[in-house]
Amino acid sequence: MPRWGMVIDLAKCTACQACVVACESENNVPCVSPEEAGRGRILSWINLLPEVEGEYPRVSMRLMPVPCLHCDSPPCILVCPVGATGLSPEGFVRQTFARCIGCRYCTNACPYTRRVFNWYRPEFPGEFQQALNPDVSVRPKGVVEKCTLCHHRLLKAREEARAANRPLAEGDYVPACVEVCPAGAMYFGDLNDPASTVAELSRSPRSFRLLEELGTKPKVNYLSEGEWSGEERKEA
Amino acid sequence: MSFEINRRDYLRFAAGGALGAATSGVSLRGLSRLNAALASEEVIVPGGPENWVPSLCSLCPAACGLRVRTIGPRAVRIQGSSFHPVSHGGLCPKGLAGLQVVYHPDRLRAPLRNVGSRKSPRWREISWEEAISTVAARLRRLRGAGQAHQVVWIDRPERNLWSRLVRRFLAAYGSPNYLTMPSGLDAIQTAVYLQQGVTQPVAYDLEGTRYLLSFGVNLLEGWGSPTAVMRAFGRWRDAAAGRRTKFVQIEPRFSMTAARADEWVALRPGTDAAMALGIAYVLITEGLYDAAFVRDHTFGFEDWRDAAGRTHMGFRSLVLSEYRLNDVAVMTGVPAETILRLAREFGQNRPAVAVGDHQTSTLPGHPYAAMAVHSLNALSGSLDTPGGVVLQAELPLKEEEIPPAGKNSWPRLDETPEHHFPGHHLARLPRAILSRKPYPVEAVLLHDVNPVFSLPNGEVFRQSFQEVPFIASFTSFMDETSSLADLVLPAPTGLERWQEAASPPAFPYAVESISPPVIAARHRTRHPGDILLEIAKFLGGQVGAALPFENVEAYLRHRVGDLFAAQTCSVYSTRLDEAWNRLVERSGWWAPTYSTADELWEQMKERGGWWEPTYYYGEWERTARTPSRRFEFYSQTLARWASSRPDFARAVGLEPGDDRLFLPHQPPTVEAPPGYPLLLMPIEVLPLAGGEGGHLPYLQQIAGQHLFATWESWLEIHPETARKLGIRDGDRVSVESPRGRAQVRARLYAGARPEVVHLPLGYGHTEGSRWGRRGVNPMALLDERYDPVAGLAQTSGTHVKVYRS
Amino acid sequence: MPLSDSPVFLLLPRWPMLAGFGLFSLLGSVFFLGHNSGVPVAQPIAFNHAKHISSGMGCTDCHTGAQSQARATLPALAACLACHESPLTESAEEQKIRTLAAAGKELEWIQLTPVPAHVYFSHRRHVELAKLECSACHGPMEKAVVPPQRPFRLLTMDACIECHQKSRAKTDCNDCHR
Repeated sequence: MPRWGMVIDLAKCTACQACVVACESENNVPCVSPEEAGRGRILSWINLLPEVEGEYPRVSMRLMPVPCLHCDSPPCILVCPVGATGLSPEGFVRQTFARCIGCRYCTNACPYTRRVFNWYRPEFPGEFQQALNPDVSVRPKGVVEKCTLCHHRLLKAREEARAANRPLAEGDYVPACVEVCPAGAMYFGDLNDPASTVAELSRSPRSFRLLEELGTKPKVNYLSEGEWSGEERKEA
Repeated sequence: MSFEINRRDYLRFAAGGALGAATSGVSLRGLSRLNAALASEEVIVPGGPENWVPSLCSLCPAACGLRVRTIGPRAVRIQGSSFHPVSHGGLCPKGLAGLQVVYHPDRLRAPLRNVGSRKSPRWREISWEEAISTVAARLRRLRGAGQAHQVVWIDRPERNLWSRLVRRFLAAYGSPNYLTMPSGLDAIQTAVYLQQGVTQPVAYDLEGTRYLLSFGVNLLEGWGSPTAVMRAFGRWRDAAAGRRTKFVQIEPRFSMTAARADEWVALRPGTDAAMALGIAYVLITEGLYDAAFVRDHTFGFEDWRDAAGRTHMGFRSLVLSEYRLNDVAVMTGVPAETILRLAREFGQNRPAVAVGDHQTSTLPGHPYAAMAVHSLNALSGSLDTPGGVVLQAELPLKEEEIPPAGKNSWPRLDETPEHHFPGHHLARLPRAILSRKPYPVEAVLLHDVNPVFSLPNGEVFRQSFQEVPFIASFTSFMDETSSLADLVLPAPTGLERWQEAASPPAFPYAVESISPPVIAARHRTRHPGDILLEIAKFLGGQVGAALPFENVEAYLRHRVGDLFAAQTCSVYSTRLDEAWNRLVERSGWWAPTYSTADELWEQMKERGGWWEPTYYYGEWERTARTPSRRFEFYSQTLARWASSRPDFARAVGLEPGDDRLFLPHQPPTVEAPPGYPLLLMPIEVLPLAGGEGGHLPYLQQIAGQHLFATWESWLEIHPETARKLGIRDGDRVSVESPRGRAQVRARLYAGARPEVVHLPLGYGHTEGSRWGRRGVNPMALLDERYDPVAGLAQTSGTHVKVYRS
Repeated sequence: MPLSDSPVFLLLPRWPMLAGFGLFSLLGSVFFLGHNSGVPVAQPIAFNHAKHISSGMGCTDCHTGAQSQARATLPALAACLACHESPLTESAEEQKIRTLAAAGKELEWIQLTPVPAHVYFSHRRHVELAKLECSACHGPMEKAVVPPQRPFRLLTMDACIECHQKSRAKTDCNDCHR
């Protein structure tokens, strides 16, 4: 049984946010009104999170693209009163939108704030509705939504592989964000396969997981700038 | 080194966007809205047969390759094409937002005629027949009256098959006025002309570079081909590659590019030239420059004697006497140790490249500063070498002769004035229109350009266009300039039309991409090329004969015939095939996948294009065409031109006969006028790169992510400066320059220099899309100033005052 | 305490569903049935499935996506015209095809068995990979001489689950729900 996971190399990330738009376009994520956006209600499933530190001219900025981390011990699924969310055998923290009652316990339980709530009826002004992806539903108002790791792509890739009578190969199934990354900073694959790129990279000394101390066991691994940073290079 | 984030940090880090939510909260109104949610509505997404078709991105000049997923007649997804040599399957956020362009609710839906006045237009939908015959009849009348040269065409600065078509049209018609929008690369291009004597587009082999000094170039925020640069960046830092390219960003603001660079050097605004020359000082004094290259391939490094026996100052003397390390440290505000260290790193890593001077994709830097930066490339011997500065390879197209139409010696209207080095700059057009010199303008045709919005002197453009008797604009959206037109001719957007693109800016290889329409043209739109060809047919005679093509497709097909005839290069392919082709070509073979022009055409349509994957380095005759046939630290080209123009020295601010006039040097910085203590520098963010994209919600949402600013302009201001002015984060403030005033939300940003404030470009439309109208357009505040050498717009000296409003 | 944090508030949205949590599955299946048991479906043409099948055609000749795509698809007018460009019978229904074509219109078939928008159903997966007969879900469509006004079988979630359990197919929520 595969255990799907991601590796994001922060040294290679250019902070361009192509992953953010790719996700929105793939998953029919509506753009909320400017007023709602100002209240922090943008629905993106993956965000570039910035943090500025220091004072001019010694400023640094931490920039991390953060999707749902698909934890192996996700706190969010424990609080759902209706079983709308859970951990699937292949490690997806799934959300069955049609079953969600909008109580938002899970949005509070997620330590990474990776769940978003549809405060309004999703709107696709003008003809934007024409560009909707038929593989993905449009979540109605009053429902919590989140990253699915483009699970629908796995279904398609599996079908494709089975029809060709071959096993699923590395690269057959990648989420939209990983696929588009222009700098090649995102990797995706089976963490259970020791030979896969993601498994190899997640063993790197640069690898870390966000807020690991909470015991959430995220399946999204980051590679820190680590020994590749300019600072260390200079000292060497 | 571990990367530690604790839970509290993380929440602060992630919750920045929800800042407003805490104060606005949820009201009872919110509750009743929620109750309305009980009646949930399902959005049904229609299905249909699925297809993946190749196309090209139309959101910036890079024209990355796309694969578009269609469901029946709808385009539902844009992805990168892995065959494309520029983007290799990657895309930037702009490209991904392309579907919002296609299905935008505010697109133009039919040809429009202004039945009101220029000042208060009223639009009436008309038929295409009426639209075309109006333009064609006007052009015929002007030509008949001997006023063909008084027709002006304004286009984007791309050099592609489209631009060749239009230039051919104008040449046959009899107008020299094919004018293009400025590019941020103009200063670098000027330096390349003055020091290398070539006009070919400059390019950088970024992937092969070991060490990169960027002087304010927004490498990761829209420069050149954004995807190609980001791909190179990823490769510089690919652990598997086993080495890391160091990339240093030198600029006053802590930009996103600076944030992602290995090192950021905070520079005093406008002192890029001094910084570059300070680095040159260390390279020279420590002997870290490529002495063999300088000896064999450069001119003007040492002091030299001209034919008349006069001694001239060389680059070395200038740098050693005027740009000593400690002096440069004072000028630039950069510690001497930092300059010393950067210079040593630059000198010890090869290939090392310096790129600049530059403001944004549409605002060029200063030519003297660009010469100073380019001189570093000569010192490191990185001209026309792998990983260095190269010249973009050209397409092997046949240049057909066009018989001259009537009197052909009319000057172009965008020529720089006498005391500037000869060049063409669109910013000059309004003056020509208003003064009616050297001749009046009878008609302006615009193609996908908006000078009123995107140039610092946009307001002057608006005034001057009031005086033009006839204006027509090809565009997909109404904009500030098109709103002054008599006719607006709606164009289909990228995915709905035949597209074509040549090498993107700063990309080394010769590339020609072609893509057929992915979906049918929406609304009553028509391809500008088809319209142009129809007009040519109507005009007949020489014009009709020069453009004998049925439609754009036929024209492109004809040009592909040229490519076939060249008998080189290959169709886009996988990386593996590409490596093989390179290998084969280097050993003097050519193994095409096609045997006829038709086969090539079909393969190009399927794969996306054709390119020359090999660059021939070190062809010195091609690289240096100066009087000395060498790279010139001392530009003899400039010196020869200036010899008969005594006012040039005065314009530069030096005495006539001063050798520094022709050597790179630090130009004087602009003094603050009394009452305007802060410097305003416009900035470019990737989602709105080129000042375009504000009409797309996807991009508005993410444009100011480093400050969680969405859907509006923001004024970046240093926290201490803000405190002194009594401004808190999020306050509405006024920014006032001698030219204008704007109201905007202030955002405290530690990455802003204390004496500088920043406004992002691309906001503040007054026409067109409902979403583009948010925020303010900084262009309206910027100084209208031109550099004394080439006459490029210099806005970096704009001073403002900021106060709470 | 702001209202937004009070437990009452949390219960308010969709409270009927929460209150009836015990009846959840029942409610769910009623909603599910609602999709294809409502108004009788009237098709633009009285298409005779039985006649086409008996003339040697197969289901996928018209529903071309059934083996290769998620959606089986309903045939476009052009597909009908391939055979019926000139009259094969004297049927008035057949004439409708050419009348539509002459008017430049499309055939607006109404989908008899739609799945709800939150369900991802792939025909390819069921027909091509699992080798299910069309009739397993669609019932004896090949015997219909007029278009049925209601589906032969009601595709409820229970029906899906029953079959999945019997054939040991996956029952992960996210393998069907999207």
